[in-house]
Amino acid sequence: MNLKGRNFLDHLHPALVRSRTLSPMTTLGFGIACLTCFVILAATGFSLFLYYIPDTSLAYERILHITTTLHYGGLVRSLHFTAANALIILSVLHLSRVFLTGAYKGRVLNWIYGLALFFLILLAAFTGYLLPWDQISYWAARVGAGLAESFPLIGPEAQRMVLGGTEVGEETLLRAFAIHAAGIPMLMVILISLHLWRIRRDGGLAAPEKDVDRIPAVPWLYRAEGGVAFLTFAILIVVALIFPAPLYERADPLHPPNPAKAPWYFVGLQEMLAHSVFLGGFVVPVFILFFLFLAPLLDTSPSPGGKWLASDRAGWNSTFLLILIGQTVLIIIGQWFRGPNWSFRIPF
Amino acid sequence: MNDNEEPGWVNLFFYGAGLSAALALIAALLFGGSAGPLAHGPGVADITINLSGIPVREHCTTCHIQGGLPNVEAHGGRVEFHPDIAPHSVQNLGCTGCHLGEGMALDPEISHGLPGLEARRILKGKEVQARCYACHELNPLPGAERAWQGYVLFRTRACDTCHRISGNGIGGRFGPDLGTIGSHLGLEPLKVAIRDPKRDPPNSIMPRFPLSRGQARDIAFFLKSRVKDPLYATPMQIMAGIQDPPVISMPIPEDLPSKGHLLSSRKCLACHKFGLEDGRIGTDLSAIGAMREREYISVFLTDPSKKIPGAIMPRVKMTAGEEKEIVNFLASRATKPSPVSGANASGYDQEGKEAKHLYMTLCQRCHAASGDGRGLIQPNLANFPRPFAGNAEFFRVTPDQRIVSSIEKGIAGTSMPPYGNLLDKNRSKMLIDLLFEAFIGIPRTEKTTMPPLPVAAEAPSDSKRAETRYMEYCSRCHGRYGTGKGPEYLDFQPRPRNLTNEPYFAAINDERIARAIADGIPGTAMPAFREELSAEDLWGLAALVRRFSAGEVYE
Repeated sequence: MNLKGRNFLDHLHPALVRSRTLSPMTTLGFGIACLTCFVILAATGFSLFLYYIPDTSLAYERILHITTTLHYGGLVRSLHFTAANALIILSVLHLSRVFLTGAYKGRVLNWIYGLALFFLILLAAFTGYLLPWDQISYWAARVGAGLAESFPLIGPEAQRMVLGGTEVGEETLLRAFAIHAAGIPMLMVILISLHLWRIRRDGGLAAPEKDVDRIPAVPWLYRAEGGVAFLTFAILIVVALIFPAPLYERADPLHPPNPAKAPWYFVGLQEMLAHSVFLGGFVVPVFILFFLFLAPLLDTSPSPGGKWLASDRAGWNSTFLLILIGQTVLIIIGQWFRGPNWSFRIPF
Repeated sequence: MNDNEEPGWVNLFFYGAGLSAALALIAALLFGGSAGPLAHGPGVADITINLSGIPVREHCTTCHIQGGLPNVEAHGGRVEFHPDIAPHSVQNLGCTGCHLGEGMALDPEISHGLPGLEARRILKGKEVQARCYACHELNPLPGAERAWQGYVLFRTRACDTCHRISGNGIGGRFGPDLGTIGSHLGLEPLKVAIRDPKRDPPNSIMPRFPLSRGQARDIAFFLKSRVKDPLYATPMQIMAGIQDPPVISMPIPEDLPSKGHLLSSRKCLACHKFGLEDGRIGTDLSAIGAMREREYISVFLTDPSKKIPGAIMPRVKMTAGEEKEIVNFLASRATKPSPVSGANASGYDQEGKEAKHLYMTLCQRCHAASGDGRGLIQPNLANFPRPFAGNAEFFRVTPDQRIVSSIEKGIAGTSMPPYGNLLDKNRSKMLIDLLFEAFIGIPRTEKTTMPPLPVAAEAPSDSKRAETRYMEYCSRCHGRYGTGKGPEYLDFQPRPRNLTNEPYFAAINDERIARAIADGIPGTAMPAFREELSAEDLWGLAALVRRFSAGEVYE
């Protein structure tokens, strides 16, 4: 093995990795896809940063300016929008993969890093949603902030902190922008670095068998990862070209759309809240949080990490799937089956 | 480790993915350059206009070259430029100053302001006059005749009695401030809000004014010019509310006696009926002086909700002198019960015909010619007029003496006036007989004897317990605080009784309240709770209703 040509990035992987690391079924490539999304978001986000102004009277016109006057402005914004939504979905899939293979075993710290990243992604998406200052984003922010309020004790304070007051306004936009464009990217770079570094510290991907065949990471692992990254990039570009990022009319703080909906990833929470403020706004979210954070500590099943749907983890896996499917169904109901005044309606 | 195990598929995957990424990138470079999904040629026409010191940037002329129709080929090669608008000029005004729309957008939806409430929807043709008064002061303007007519209607149809339109100067505070409504709603939503106020929100108290489609459109033209950033006044003038829209003198109807001109100039007649003048919103004031005390009218004018809680009539701004003048005038018209004498004069000699005439003159406006309670002004009344037709059950359980008293003494806390002064005993008997004969459909003497009410407990009932029962059984309709506006109140017609109606409940005894709770009220959604409630609960709830109506609010 010639180590002379190795550069700093080669610290990402050891010289030799297990051959199962490359098998598509091991990780499905979700982690790298997430990372690709993040890189695209950083690049497109920086471009948007050059033109956007976080001012309630200017923001909307600046978005119109970006999407209409600038060459490739519309594409850059669409790509940012597509990658952001893809990142939410892919990070949930990545999290599910890790959970369903039990890959968190003995890797509690990295699991926590991952969860922290996931919540940062949600926060980034939510703050970014507000920035165009159009009718849908404005009211989604009001609804989203309202969801936080129902959480006991810390809810109202957290809401006040994010809003910079009691209402969505000038301060909120400035705060959302600062959090979205400065705070979160910095934190995410740090956490992603730690997240990647911990994989290597923990001995590569979780694997059930010991002493198996190993192959050189250069070039095979890098090529596999590069392939996933290229594929993700290609798909995102195509989606962004076909489905441009939506923009609605200017925000009107006096006239809410009916129904006013939170961003789609919070619609599940909104749907739960619509049924019960205490159960849906406190008990269930807290249960999900505790479940996710404590699972690697409480899961003492003997099977080694890295095996899909191990039979001795059936209880854990089915609980997780129940939560995942439940939230998905609630989001689908909230997003498509709710009409004015949150009444049930068939969308077709 | 040996070379045999090299996963060759990884190469294939890598190069395949790389190729697709490259293709996607090329596609992006080729198709992503023109903004959005809509190709619009090589360049965007980007102009900036100085509109009274406000820079306005527009891309409209990208498609509308020289203000003409887009896509000349599609219109048969007909080149049509913007008409001459002297003394204005397109170069100075730009497009969005008059036509609205989103100047910076390039897609057909947003640039034309179509989504949502259409606040910036494109104004075309005659609609453009909806913008004139966003810059010009309110005065008749050539080309803005409809918008001016809208302003005249706004003042003469008493819109300004409830709504304000500019600063502090003009208008009441009973309805929402419309000073910036043009920045929030498009023409179509404005027209709908004027012609069908209860469509959204359904609990709106704004009455449906008798306005033609054209009149509603004119008012919408005028309201569209009430904007957040008007050019007819400086921001300081707007804040101080010192711009003065011209006064529109109210037309005085010819048949209105000169002493009663205040009824017209204070816009009473925009809603109420007097003589032949009819606003078709409020009650008939022709003989009100004969029925109501001076003191009642005077208090009512100062605060309508004192006498009829929930009345939608706003407090009308007027001086003490004007108020006195109106009361005096109404009282002076009280002497002749005109409908009846009129009836005799027109040859209504038979009893039945006279009774019918009385019904049509006095009752029909609220109770409807068909007797179902859905009369002309029913939607504007705080309490639903008692239906006669199809409501036999109610009249079976209601003592005859109560029916007589309702007509002679009126029903306190509602719009039902005491007709005792207007009708002699004989005539009111004729009228009641007519009600039973024509609508109720049972003999006047046919009464059901109700089972006796459970005896009230000796000890004073526990008020906390009554409150719990109330929350359990009553609050969904009557509301937590008894206002008659619980979460489900809109589902019922007649609406749930407002339990805080002080004058209404002052006039009835405890037994009647308890009776209504125990046996329900036929013809309304009020069910009988005899089975569910113990004697203690029943009388506890009756006492609670008393507390509500006395203005006591529990937490």
